[in-house]
Amino acid sequence: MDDAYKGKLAAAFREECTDILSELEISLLALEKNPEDIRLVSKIFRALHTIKGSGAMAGFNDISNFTHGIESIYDLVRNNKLPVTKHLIDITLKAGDYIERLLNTPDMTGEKESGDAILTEFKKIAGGTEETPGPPKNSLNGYSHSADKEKVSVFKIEFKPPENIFLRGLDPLSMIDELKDLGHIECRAYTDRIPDLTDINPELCYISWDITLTTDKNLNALKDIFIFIEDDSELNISEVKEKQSDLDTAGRLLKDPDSSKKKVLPKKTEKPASIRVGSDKLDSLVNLVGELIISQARLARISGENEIPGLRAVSEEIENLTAELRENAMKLRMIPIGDTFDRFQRLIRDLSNELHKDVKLKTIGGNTELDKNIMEHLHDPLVHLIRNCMDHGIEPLKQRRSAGKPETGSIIMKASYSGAYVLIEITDDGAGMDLNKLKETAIKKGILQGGNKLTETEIYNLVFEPGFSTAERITGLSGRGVGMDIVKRVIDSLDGSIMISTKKGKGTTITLKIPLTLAIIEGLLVRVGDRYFIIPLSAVKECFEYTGNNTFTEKKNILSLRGSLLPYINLRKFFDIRGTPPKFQQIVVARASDSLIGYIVDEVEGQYHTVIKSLGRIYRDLEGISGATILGDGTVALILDVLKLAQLAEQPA
Amino acid sequence: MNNTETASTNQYLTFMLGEETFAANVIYIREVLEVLPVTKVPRTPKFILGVVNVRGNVVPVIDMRLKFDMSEQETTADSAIIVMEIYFDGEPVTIGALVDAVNEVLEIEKDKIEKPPRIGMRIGNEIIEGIGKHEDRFIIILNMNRLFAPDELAIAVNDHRNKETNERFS
Repeated sequence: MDDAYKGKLAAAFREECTDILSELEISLLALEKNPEDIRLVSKIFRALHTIKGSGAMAGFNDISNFTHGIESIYDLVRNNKLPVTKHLIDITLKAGDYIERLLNTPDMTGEKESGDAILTEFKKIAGGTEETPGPPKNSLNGYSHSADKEKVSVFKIEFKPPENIFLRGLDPLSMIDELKDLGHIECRAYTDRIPDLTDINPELCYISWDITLTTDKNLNALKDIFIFIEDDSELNISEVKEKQSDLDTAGRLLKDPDSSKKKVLPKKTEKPASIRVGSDKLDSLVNLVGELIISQARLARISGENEIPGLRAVSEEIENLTAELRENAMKLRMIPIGDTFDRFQRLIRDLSNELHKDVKLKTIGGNTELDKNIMEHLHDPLVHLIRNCMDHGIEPLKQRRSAGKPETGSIIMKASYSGAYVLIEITDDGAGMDLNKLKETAIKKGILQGGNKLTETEIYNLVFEPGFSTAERITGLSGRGVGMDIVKRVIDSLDGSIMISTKKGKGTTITLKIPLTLAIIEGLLVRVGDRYFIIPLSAVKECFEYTGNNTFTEKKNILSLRGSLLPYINLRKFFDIRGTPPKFQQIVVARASDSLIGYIVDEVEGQYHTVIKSLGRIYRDLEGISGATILGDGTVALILDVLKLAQLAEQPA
Repeated sequence: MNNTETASTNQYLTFMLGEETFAANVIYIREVLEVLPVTKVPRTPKFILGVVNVRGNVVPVIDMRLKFDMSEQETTADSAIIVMEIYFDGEPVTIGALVDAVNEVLEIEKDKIEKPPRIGMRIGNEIIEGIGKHEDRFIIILNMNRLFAPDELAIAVNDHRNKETNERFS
C-alpha cells in the first residue's frame, strides 16, 4: 500500500466516520427517549461495527480497538442482557467524542488514559452480567466443543453476494473464514454462473455458496459477519432445529442447487435516495450557472438592440431556461436545517447536566432548506443563542417551581420560509428579559448615557452592543460580554437580521431572518456618470427624486424625509466620479441594520439578477464594496456594502 | 517563503514600459489581452487601476507604469494586459498587469542574468530578480511574486482612506 493510497483511505474514513458519529449521536439521543426501541439499538450497533471495520481497514487501529469494546457492550444490549440506562448513553456519547478526537489527531498519546477510562466505565456496566467484553476476538474465536457449555445449533446459510462485492473492498472468502471461526462449517460453492472465459469480468464475483455451520453462537453473531452487505446480497440464514436433519438438508441441497433460489430473501430496497457529491463540484456548477446568466443577459441586450427575426424568441426561451436552471442549481446547494437542529439536542443535553436544569428541545420545520454555505456560518451563532437560553433564559428549578411553571424547561427551534428569507425562531419559556435591568447595566457599563429615552426595541437591542452582559456571575457558558455582538455581526454579514421579543416571566423569542442564498441575489442597478453599482434589493426601502431642495443641511449630509432626518451618501462624491450630475438625481433609501441611509445616484436602472463575484485578496482591505458582478455588456459593476457604508457615513468626520 | 516561490524556467516574456524592457518568467503568465474597459474600484492605491472581466472572472489590473513611479500615460493600440498568476500572502491570485507593449518570449540562460545593482535603480530592489543580457540589450527581470510589498496594500488603503474620508464626508 503506497502512502498516497493510504492517505486517500484515511481521508475517506475520516469523512465516513464523521458522518457515522453524528448519526450515532442522534440515535443515542433517540434511544434515551425510547430505551425499548430495538431498531435503534441495532442501528447503533451497526454504526459501531462499521467504525470498527472501516477503521481497521484505513489503519486507525486505536479507533478500531476502542470501538470493539463498546460494540461488545451493545451486543449485550441487543440480546437484552443489558438495560439501556442514562449512564450508558452518557458514556457512549463520551466515547463518540473520544473517537472523533482520535479521528482528527490520530497520534495523540496523552489522551490514551481518557479512552481507557471510558472502556473501564463500560466494563463496570457490563460487570453485572455474566459476559464481560473481552479483548478483541478472543470471545468470538473458537468453536467450543464442550457440550455442556451452551446449546449447539446448526445454521444453514445461503449466500449469494452482489456481483460488485470486490469493488466495495470486501472479500466473500474472508467472510467464510470468519464463519469458520464460529464453528464447524461445511461449504459448497456454486460455479454455474461463471461465464465463458471470453465474457468473464475478473472484477466481478459470480460464485454463490451454501454453508452449513455448527456453532454455539447465536444468529446475531452470524449476521454481524454479513453486516456490510446484507442489504445487497441474497442471504438466507435459517436455523436447522435438529442436528440430525443437518445431513438431510445438506443432501437435499446437493441434489437440487436451484431450490435455494426459491427461498432467497427479497432484496431490501432501503437504499438512500441520495448520492454524495463533493461541495466543490456544486460550487463550480453554481459558478457556471452564474456565467450563463451573465451571457444570457448579453444575449438579451443584443437581441433587444437588433431586430433579427427569430432571435428574440430564442433569446426569451434561453432566458426562461436559464432562470429555471438557476433555481435548480441553487436548490442543489440547499440542505435541510433539521441536521443542524439535531446537533443541538446533544448541546442541550450536555448543558442540562452541567447547569442542573432540565430542558427539552423541540424542533419544528426541520425540512426548511438553506444554502449550505450560509448554514455553515449559522452554526456558531445558534450555539451561542442556545447557550444564552439555557444560561440566562431558563430559570433554576427552585425559581421555576415558585413561579408555577413546569419543572422541565422548554426551548423551541423553529424554521420557516418567508419570501426569499428563512426565519429561525428560538423560543424559551424562561424568565424573559428585564427592561429596567438591561437599562441599568447599559448605563453602568457606559454603553448608554443616563437620561436617554429609548423605545422597548432599542433597549432589547442593547444586548447586541459589544461588552454587554447582565449575567451576575460568569459561567463557562455566558456572561463574559462577548457573544451577542458577534452573533449580530455574523447575521449582518449574511445580510440577515435579528429581532428580540420578550415577556418578563414568560420567556424570550429571538428571530433570525436569513436570506436563502448568497451566491446570486436580486439587486438594484444604479448609475452614476458612466459607472454602475448594485445595491442589494433586500436592503432597498424606497426611491425618490432628489432636487436639492429638501436637503436639511448640506454640510452634514442629512436631508429631511417626511419629517424625519435621513443621512445620505452622495455616490458621485464618495467614489470621486467626474462629470456633472443631471438636473434630477435620484435617492435610493436603503436599510442598514437598524438605520436608513440614502444614496444619491444619477439614475435607477432597475432590478438585476446579480451573480456575486469576489474581488479577491488584493482588495481584502477594501471597505464599502462587498463584491462585483458582470453586466450584460461585459463590464464589471461593484456591489455596495450598505452596512459598511452606513457605518462610514455615521462616523463623525 | 521559499515554498511559495514558483520554480522557474529560462523562458521570459518581455514587455515595454516607456523605453525600458522588462521581463517576467513565463510560468507566471496566463495570457495576454488587449486593453479592456476597466471598472475603477474606489479608495484603493492609485497603481491598482480597477477590475476587468476576464471571461466571467473579476480580475484586478495593476498599472505597471504607476507601480514603478513612471508618468501616467494614455493607453495606445500597443498597450496590453498581461494576465498572471502570482503568489500573494502565500496564496495564488490572478492579476492583470497593464504594460505599454508586449514584445516576445526569450530564452535567457541563468548565467546571463546578473544580480541587480544596489544603487542607481529607480524601482525597489526587492521586485527585481536580476538583469538579463540579450543581444546587447539589458532586460530587467521581475519577480512577480514580490509585486506587492508585504503591507503595501493594507497601508495604501488606510492612508488613502484617512486622507480622503474627511473631504468626502464634509
